[in-house]
Amino acid sequence: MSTEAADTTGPATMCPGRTVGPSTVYRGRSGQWAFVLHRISGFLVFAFLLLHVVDVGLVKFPRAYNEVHALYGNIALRLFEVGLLAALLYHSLNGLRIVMIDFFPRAVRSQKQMFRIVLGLTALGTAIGGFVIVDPFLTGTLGL
Amino acid sequence: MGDTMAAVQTAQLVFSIALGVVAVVVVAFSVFVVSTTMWGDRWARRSG
Repeated sequence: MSTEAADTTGPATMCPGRTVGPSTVYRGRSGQWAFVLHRISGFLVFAFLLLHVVDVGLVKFPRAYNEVHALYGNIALRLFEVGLLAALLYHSLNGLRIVMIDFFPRAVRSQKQMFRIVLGLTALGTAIGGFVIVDPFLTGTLGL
Repeated sequence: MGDTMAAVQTAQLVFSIALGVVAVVVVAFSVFVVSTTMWGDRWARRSG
């Protein structure tokens, strides 16, 4: 995971207060932001997963289950789901990018291009999925 | 019917609050992670 933008060729970098080895230093720009987005999207997916376990667990209480899930028809929750879809897509695709770099170290040379592809596919998937998610609300065919 | 409505509203309210808390925590975590790029000593910018 730490290989995506690590400087494995240069000397150790001096940071305020201590010396950081070359394998742990991110060099900024695309690799840095790919890491930041990966961490944020991973945390978002994890946090929602906890809630998802709770709302699915309500199946033992049919009334509460139905009413809580009726909330998903709300436009705010639908927009949240679009964001969740974006986070899922980015996290999974960027995970594949990292795996690719782990398996093929030379791929680190193309990490910037792969990051752009990940962003492009994420945007495309989010646009398509987001339309599917929000469309029933816009057309009034939620069926609630 | 009245009891049913009260229970439903409670379940929805609790879930909404939980979702709101999750949203706030995620935003706070995001701000923290982005801020580490400014002060974290694990980051180093390119010189050129």
